[in-house]
Amino acid sequence: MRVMLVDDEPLVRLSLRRALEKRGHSVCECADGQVAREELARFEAELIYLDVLMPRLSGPDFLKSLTPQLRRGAKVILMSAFAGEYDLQKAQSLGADLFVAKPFQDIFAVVRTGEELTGVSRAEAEAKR
Amino acid sequence: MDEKATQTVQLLTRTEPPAWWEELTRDPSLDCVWVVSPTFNIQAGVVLVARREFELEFHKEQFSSSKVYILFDDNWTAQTLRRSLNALKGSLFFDSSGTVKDAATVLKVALARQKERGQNSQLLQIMRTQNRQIEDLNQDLERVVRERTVSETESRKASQKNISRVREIITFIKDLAQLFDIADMLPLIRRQVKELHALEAPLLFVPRGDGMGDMYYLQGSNPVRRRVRGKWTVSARIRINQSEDSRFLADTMGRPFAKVLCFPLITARHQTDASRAPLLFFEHGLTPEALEQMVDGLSEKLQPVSWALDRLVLEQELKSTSRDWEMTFDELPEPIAIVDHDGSVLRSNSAWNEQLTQALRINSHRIRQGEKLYIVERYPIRVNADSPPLSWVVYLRDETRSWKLKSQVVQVEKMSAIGQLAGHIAHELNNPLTGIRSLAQVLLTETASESQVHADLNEVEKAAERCQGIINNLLEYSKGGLDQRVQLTDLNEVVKKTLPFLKSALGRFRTDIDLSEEVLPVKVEPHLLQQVIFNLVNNACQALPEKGEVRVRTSKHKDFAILEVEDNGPGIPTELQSQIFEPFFTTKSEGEGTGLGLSFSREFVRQFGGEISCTSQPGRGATFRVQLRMEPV
Repeated sequence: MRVMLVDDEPLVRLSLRRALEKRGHSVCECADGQVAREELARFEAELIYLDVLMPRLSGPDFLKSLTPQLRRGAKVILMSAFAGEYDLQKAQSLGADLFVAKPFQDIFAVVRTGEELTGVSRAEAEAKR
Repeated sequence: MDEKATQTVQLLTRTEPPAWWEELTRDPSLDCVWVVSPTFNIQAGVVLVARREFELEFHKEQFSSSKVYILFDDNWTAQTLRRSLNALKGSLFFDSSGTVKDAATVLKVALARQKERGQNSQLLQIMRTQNRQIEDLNQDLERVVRERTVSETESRKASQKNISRVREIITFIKDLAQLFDIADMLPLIRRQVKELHALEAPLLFVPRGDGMGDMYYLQGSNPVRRRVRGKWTVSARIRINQSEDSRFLADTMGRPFAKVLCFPLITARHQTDASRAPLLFFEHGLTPEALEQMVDGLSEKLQPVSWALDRLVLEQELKSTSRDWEMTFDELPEPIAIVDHDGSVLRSNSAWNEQLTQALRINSHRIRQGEKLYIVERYPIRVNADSPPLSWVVYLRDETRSWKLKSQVVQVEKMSAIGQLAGHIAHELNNPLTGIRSLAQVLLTETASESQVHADLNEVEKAAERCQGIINNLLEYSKGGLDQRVQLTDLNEVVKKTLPFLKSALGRFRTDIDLSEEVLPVKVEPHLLQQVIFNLVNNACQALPEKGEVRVRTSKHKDFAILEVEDNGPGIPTELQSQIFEPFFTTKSEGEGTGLGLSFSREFVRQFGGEISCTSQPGRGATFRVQLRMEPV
């Protein structure tokens, strides 16, 4: 599975990448929405972990600017530490598919959520690889 | 003439007349009458009496001294003669044995004597008459003199009486002029009418407008005033025994009045509105006729009363007007004063006197006085628009409340900024923390579970988790938490969650946290209750000097969950205990407290159906107690 990580916190990206790669997924890291927009044309992501607060282009703005051609059916999980302001409903109204509150209690649970959302099992991912 | 010339001579004898009688009867100038009757009537001026006849004394009483008697005898002795002459004093005698010549001579003498006697008696008569006239005149004169004297005495008495009356009135006027109180007029008036016994003690009614008036009367000798209801349409006339007067007095005094004399005390001031004229009443027992007689004198005496009373009423009105103003100004909660150009205070209200302990500088625009902040406003007092101000009305507008509100707003903004900052920091920390913890979790899967690295990574993961917990609490507290609705919570849990934020406040004090072992389920908004706990513990810490102890206890009492926060600081002065829950009440200096903490706390606790109270013995600390009804789990 091709997973794009959009978060300005390197450590979040690093830990997610390590967890995802351990599960056999390929990962593209982006430090903000702007970078993500550019990368998305090259890297055909099936799943995007998208942070809300980021410099240059925030998560919601990135979602707004995402055309269907660019998105190509990619699933989006919105992540936020401002749990009070965002929830599943808000995330879906912005165009995301799921919402995950930060901080994560268990990184592997977050990964599993993504796999379940895209319907790609670990086995499939490994087969693909 | 002839008649006058004729002299009547009577002869008194019952015997044969002597020879010379015959001779005498021939004398034409004599009217000779011989009387024999023992009861003779002597009419003649000269009476010839036979001595023997006389001796018989049968008619002695008939002899009168006004006549001239001639006794005659022809056979006499010295002794008998002397006796007869003594009995008939002033009479003549001759010896009838003698000649006619002797008789005629004696008769002549008698006649002359008779004549002389007649003249004398006539003279006497005249003198007597004149005397009587003089006496009459004298009496008239005396009467006139007496009358004059009497009338003079009377007029002197009258004028003296007049003078003393005028004097009395002048004294009365003087006494009246020295009065300061209307009530004191009554004894004076009573003294003035004292001589009129039929008049009872006076009652004085002074209308005050609005249908009210003052009734002054004497209780014993003490003047008394009573405010009564009563309006009176006054005619300028004195009224006698009018039933409405009696009724009016009976209504106001609460006892019956029989006959009443009513004097309206009218002065020039009452001419436009006679209903403002005072009334003087006397109860009396006189008939109208008797009264009318004394009314004139009485009204003369009462005229000065009208003037004096008018003066006193005016004085009173002035006084009460100025007192009204004084009271109005004293009621103002804010200081106000009249200040002259060099800044000295001419007059000031009680707020000025009580609140202002420092001298006001001429040009200051705002001053702080203890807890209060005033804006100084000045208004000039001028005689007319162009003249320079004589003095100034200085009004200190109390800006304390709006200033406190303003500083409260600033405080709230500061707090919200801090809250935002805290939220921001928490968010900023959350991101790397998420990374750290997540990475630790990933690495944990990649290391052998018995290795040292695995154990270390485990420590990192746990530390990151604790950090997350703290940050979550901070976020919840600063932003009101995730869920602001009332929920069923354990009081102990709320206390536990709040305590970490109080660590720095509690820092140097001994802290005793004593939470009940059993769950205390209460229905509250947790973050609001957290604020209450925070406020109470924070207050306790601020109340303590360098060292002290703060105790936080929870317990169960009947159906209630109890939270107690106790300190052993100086306590709260008794007089302030009732105010501490009031908004903006604070004993802390500016910047330290807003005076809202306890007021909000009480507000929150009441929202949850609970109550907050404070007990404190000055010098022995204070205990705040929150009582919340427990809910079934």
